[in-house]
Amino acid sequence: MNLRTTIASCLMVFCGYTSHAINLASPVFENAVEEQTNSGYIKLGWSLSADAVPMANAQFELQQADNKDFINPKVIYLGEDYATFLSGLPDGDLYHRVRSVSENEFSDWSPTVVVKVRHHSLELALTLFGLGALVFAFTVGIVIQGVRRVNA
Amino acid sequence: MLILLGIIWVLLGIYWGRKAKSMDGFMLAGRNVGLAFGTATAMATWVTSNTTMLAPQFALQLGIWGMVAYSTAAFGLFLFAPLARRIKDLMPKGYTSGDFIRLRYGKAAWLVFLGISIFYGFTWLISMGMAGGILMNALAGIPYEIGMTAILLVCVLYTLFGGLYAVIGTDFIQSLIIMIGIVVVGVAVIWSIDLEQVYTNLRTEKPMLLNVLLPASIMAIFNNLLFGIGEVFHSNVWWSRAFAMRKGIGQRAYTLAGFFWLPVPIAAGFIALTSGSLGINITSPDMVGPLMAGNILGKAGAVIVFIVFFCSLASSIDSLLAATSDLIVEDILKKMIKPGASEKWMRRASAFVIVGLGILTWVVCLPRIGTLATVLFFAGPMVASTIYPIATGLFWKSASAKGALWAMVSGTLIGLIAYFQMGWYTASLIGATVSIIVTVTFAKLAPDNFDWKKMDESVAQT
Repeated sequence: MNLRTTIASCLMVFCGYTSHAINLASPVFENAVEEQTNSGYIKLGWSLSADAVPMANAQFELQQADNKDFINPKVIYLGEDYATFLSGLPDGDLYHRVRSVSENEFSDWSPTVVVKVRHHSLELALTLFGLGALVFAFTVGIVIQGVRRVNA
Repeated sequence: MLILLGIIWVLLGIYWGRKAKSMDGFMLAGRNVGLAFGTATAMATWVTSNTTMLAPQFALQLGIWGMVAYSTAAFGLFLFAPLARRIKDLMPKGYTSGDFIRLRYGKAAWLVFLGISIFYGFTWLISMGMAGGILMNALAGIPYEIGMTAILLVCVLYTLFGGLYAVIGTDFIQSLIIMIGIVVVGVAVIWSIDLEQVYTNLRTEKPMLLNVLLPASIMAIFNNLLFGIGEVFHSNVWWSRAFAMRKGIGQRAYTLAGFFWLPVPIAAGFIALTSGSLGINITSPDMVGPLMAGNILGKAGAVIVFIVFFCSLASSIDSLLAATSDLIVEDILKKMIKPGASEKWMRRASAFVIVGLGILTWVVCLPRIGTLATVLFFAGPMVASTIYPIATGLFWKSASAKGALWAMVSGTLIGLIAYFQMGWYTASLIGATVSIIVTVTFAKLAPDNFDWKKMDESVAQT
């Protein structure tokens, strides 16, 4: 990536462009426009289009908001990676958008991805927990009773 | 470091390989393994990449219950301890878990069991090959493909030369390195982070990870526990050790190994929870363990972590290669294809199978499919469905072949439906539940009256 970036920068200088003359490429999410999670975690990934020219020192800014107009958004990632893993999310709809950032320049925002967090119902979880406890107790019972019977 | 560790393990494999003169020596280390080596090999094998890398992934995805859920896999070792004694008593000359199913339940159940066991062994191998690549990439920047190839190559070579002697011998050294390394890493992590800051970050950014009523994590607790029991109860990795240990050793060795293993996933998982407070971006959840350890501990720490992770991977890959090749050679080649095969032929076949498994694992690992959890837990319902055919088969005369067969088939199928419909954290639980109902129903309604003497093949043949 560094070599590619360096070559791209050299070509730009050679051609007489400055970094200000080129618009930063907008990243695009690799996730579906609407994602749903029942467990409170999800991986968000993004990429640049194949013909986009990567800029030196370009970073990605990922914003999250609880409304689609991004009023009072939070920057949840700023860096060079092409993905981030979110976990521990509470129930609700979380809107995400990402853009490229290089010094004082910004690309357009990507299309929005909404992550709908709908945890499994607590009733289902506790039912499975109880079932698991019962199966485990039977398993222990089979082993202990078996050992006693053999010893006897 | 990678080359140095690789050379050490291969040389040790060649050294121990000199002891493996017979097939009993190569496959079962002469059936003479004592308490220290027995405990160490059980503990080191269970501290797999799945402990050092999946436990942090569990913590990152499922929070505090995630770590606890992972540590419940220790019950697999605790409950297998009395089984190991029973296995040794019933089958003093047995070779594989497949032998048990064949003698106890007949051919149909045996074939289904072999399918499950070999598939599971293979997914475990894949998850560890992938873990090797991910680990080297995260800690040393070595490309995934090269790291994955290197660790598979080293493990294939020393297992090839030394068989179970080399596996158990290297496991002993690896278990010592793992335990010392985890203590060093644990102390360094506690020393270098601000616990209050970690808690505040989790409370504001990832609140559900601290929530004791996080539904997915509540579901995961018994799911993982039953998956762990299923893994240990059915897998030839553990049966071969039960056969290899001296009489009277197995029960104590497995119990001790369980106690040594129990705190490891909690220690390994905890560091994943510090990622947010340290501002480290996690791009893939299965990378969180090595990535955090490397970041927190710096360059010197990264070297220690690298050695610990390498040992934890190698100690399990070698065991799996040896145990899966035993299952294929003993149960498929010897019992189905070439009965009466000479020891020399079987030894050569073992070598081919070990190399073949290594190559096949390498091919599947190359595209890096899914995360470690999704790859491994796909086999969850399959192994969980074998718990009751094995447990009741060892202790109940009434456990029947039909019950065992239908328990494995229906437990696997319904568990897989749960895997796709509800999530990987429910599949083993559902598979185990179906399996226990079917096994017990058949044992009560259409009971068998099994003669235990049939289990000792050497006596039965005489």
